[in-house]
Amino acid sequence: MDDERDELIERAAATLRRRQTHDPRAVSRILRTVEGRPRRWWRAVTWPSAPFSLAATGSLAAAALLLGFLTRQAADRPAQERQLAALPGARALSLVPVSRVAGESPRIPVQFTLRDVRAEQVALVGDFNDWSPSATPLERGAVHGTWSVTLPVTPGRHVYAFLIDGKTWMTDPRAQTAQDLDFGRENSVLIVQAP
Amino acid sequence: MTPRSPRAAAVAREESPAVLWAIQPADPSTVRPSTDIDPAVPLRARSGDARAFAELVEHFHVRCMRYARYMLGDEEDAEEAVQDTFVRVYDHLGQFRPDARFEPWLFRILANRCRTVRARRRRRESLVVTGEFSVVVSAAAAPVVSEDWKEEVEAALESLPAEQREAFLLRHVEDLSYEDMSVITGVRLSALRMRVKRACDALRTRLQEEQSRGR
Repeated sequence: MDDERDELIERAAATLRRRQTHDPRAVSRILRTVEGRPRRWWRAVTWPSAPFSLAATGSLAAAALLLGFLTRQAADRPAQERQLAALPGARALSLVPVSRVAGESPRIPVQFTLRDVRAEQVALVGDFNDWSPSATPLERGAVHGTWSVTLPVTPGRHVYAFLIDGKTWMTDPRAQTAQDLDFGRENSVLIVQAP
Repeated sequence: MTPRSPRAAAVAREESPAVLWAIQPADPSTVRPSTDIDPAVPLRARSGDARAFAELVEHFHVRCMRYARYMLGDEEDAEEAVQDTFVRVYDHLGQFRPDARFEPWLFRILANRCRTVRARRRRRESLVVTGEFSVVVSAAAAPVVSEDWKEEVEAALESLPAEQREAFLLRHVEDLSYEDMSVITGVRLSALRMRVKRACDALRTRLQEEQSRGR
């Protein structure tokens, strides 16, 4: 507050500002400490007690169904293998998911939607696109003011937000948000289950 | 989860300090060229440029140490807080948004690190009740005997409650805007203005008393 800047306060502040010591050894210590550290971008966020947006909930339901289907298949597998083993010339083969062979997580399509009648442009920004404002624009829907995009997302916890007209950061109104204590911003949270 | 319209949410968020640095371009009148850094540097560091990260540390280390020393009153604690700060910055650069300003982002982490170190020190000191008591008594009761203006100012600053000291340092020593301070501390603008005002009143009273007593 500028009205607090009288002569005495200004003199005191100037005195305090003068305390500056450049310590190259301390700087070197910091640089040595971070050298070779892996980037751990996910460490700064808090875990939510519950998700989600409707779109995320839908994808979770679909993922849960798929998981249930695969689990049931896995449970039935010993019986099937016993039947196969009983056949002449048969030998046991273990079944491995294609994605595991390929060495990467399967991506689950997730639809992100937003309704904002005043927006001219909407972009999806999140950890899955490196928070790029240009990587994932939303498309206008048939209904006025609706926006959506479908993006394949790896299983796990993701944080995201919408960028309106390139300047307004906005969380998904239907999603759980998580605020980062250190970084102070709010993001929406999406959890995608592995199939 | 409270349902609300997207526009209402946007408006609410525009008023919230948490998003100010994302949506509000830097106000030229509050950004001192001497303290801010080329916005390209944190972005280069974010993309893995080690030299850019070193440049960030070089640029901000002196100010971070000054702030931490005044907040913690101890050289070793200050070094610990500043080193933790830069390590956390390094670890989380991936979350630094290209449209954000680096300075308030850094100072928010630093302010939190200082709080953590201070809280840890309080817990440690509370285990030695006698020691803590004697320190508090001596700090409160002993008159400032030094004739040196610098010592008077530092003692006056140290006598402030931590939240007032924090607000005063950010505003008057680090020359940050109230909007940036709100991002850094998570405290509303009106409360910050009140803290700065109280800090100034207390400093003014104490320094005037010292001046009229000895000078």
